[in-house]
Amino acid sequence: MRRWVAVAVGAVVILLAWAAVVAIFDYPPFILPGPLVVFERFVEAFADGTFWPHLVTTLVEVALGLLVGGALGLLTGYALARSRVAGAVLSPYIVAAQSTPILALAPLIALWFGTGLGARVVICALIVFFPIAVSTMVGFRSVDRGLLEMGRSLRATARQLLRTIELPAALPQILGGFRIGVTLAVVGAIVAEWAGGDRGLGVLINLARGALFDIPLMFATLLLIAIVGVAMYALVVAIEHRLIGTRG
Amino acid sequence: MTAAASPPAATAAIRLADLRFSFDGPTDALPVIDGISLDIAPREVVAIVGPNGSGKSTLLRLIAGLLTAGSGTVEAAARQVIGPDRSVGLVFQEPRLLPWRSTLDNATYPLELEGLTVTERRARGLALLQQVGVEGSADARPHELSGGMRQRVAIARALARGPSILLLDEPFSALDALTRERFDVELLRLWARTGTTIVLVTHDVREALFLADRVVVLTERPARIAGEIRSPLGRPRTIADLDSPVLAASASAVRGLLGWPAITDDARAQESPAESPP
Repeated sequence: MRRWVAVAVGAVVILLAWAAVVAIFDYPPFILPGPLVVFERFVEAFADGTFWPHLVTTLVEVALGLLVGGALGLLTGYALARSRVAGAVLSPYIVAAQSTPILALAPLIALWFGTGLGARVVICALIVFFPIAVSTMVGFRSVDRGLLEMGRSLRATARQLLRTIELPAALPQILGGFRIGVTLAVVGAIVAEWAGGDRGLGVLINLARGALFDIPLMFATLLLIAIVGVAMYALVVAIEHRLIGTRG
Repeated sequence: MTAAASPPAATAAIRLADLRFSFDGPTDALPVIDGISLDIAPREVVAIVGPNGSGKSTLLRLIAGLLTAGSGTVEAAARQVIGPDRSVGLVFQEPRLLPWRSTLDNATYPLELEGLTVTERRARGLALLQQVGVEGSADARPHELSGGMRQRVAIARALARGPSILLLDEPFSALDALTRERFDVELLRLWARTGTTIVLVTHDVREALFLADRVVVLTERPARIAGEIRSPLGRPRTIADLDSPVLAASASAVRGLLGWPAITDDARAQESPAESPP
C-alpha cells in the first residue's frame, strides 16, 4: 500500500513539474503541451477511434516479435549452454549483431523484406532475441549440477531432466530476459514502423509530428507507447510471480 | 577384531570385485579406487569410513551407477551395475530438493518419473512422508523446512521406489550433534521397518559403529580396504549405546586402522608445549 502511495505521489510531482515548466516558460502546445492538454487529446484519440488501428497493429507486431524472437532466443540460448561448439561458432555473430544498432539494420531489413508486417516482426524479433538468448544460456548453464545428478540417480531421461529440473531451474533467468525483451519489443516495433509501414503507433507519431501537425496527439501517442511498455512488463512480472513466486 | 567375515557370495546384496576407478586428470588419470573387493549381505548395514578425499563418495556413486568402474565389477541386487537402478536409493550429503516443488512432490518425484498418476503419487507420497515423520509439511516448500526436515524428505524420496538397497552419503553431516544422534536412532527404526541393505558413508567413527553391523575402513587415496571392524553392539540399539564402553573400544580400533594416533592429554601437551602449564 505504502509503495502505491509513493508511486502516486511521484507521478503527481512529475505532472506538476511538467505543468509548471509549461506555465513558467509559456510554451505553446505545438512546442510543449501541458499534461492536461495531452490527457484530453489522449482521451479524445481513444474516443474518436484514432488510436485503435495503430494500437492493434503495434500490439500484433510486439506479440509476434516476442513470439518469434523469444522462441529463437530460447532455442539458441539452450544450444549455447549445451554445446561448446555452438557457443564458439555462434557467439561472435550474436554479439556482433547485437552491437549493430537496430536503427541501422531496419532500413536494410525493409529493403529485403518490404515494409509489411513480416519485416516489422523480423526487426522486433531481432531486438528481442539477444537478451532472451543470453539469459537462457546463463539460466541453463547455472542449473545446480547436484540436482541433475539427483535426477540421473533416479534414472530420469534427458527429456525428463529438461522438463522437471533444467527448465524450472533456469526459469528465473529466462523470465529476466523476457522482462528486458518485452520492453525492447515495443522499441523494435516503433523502430520498424519508422523504417516503413502505414499503420502503428510509430507511424502515428510521424503523422502527428508531420502531416497532422498535432503535437498534443504526438505526446498522447508517446504516453500510450509508454503505457503499452509498462503493461507488457507488468504482464511478464505477473507471469514470473505466478511461476516462481513461491520459491525460497 | 579386523577382517570380519564377508557374507557368502551367493547371498550378497552388493558385491564389489577388484573394483578400480580413476578420474581423468588434465594430463594423467587420477586413481581413486584401487582394487576394492567387498560383499554386503541383504539387510546388512555397512559404514564406510576413511580419510578426506579417500574416495568414499566415489565408491557410493559406483554402486549407485552414477560412475562407471574402470575395471572390476559392481553388482547390486544380483545385477551388474551399468547405470542407476530402481532397486538402489541414494541420499546425498545435501538434500538436493527441487525448490519449486512441495515436500510431497519432492518425495514423489521418482514416482512421477515412473509415470504414476497424481492420485497414485499422492497416496504413496503421504505414506512415505509419514514414514520419515514430515507428513505435517506435505504442502510446504523446501525453504520452509529445517535442515533436518529437508534431509528426511530426501530419505523419503530415496525410499519412494521401495529400493532393496539404500546408499547414504554423509546424510546427517550438516546437522548439529544432538539432531544427528536423534536422526541416527530414527534411521535405525526406518531400517528395522524397511529391511533395506544400507551402505553409509560417514566421517563419524562412533556414528558408523552405532549404525552399522560392519565398518569398512578405507586407506588414503587411491582407496583400498585398510580393514573391517564389526560393531560390538547387538540389535535393537538405543541412543544410550552411543556411550557404551565397548563402542569406545571399537572406535579406537577404527581410528587405529585410519592411522590416527590415540590423542591423550599428554600427547596434546607434547604437540603444543607453549600451552603447557608452567
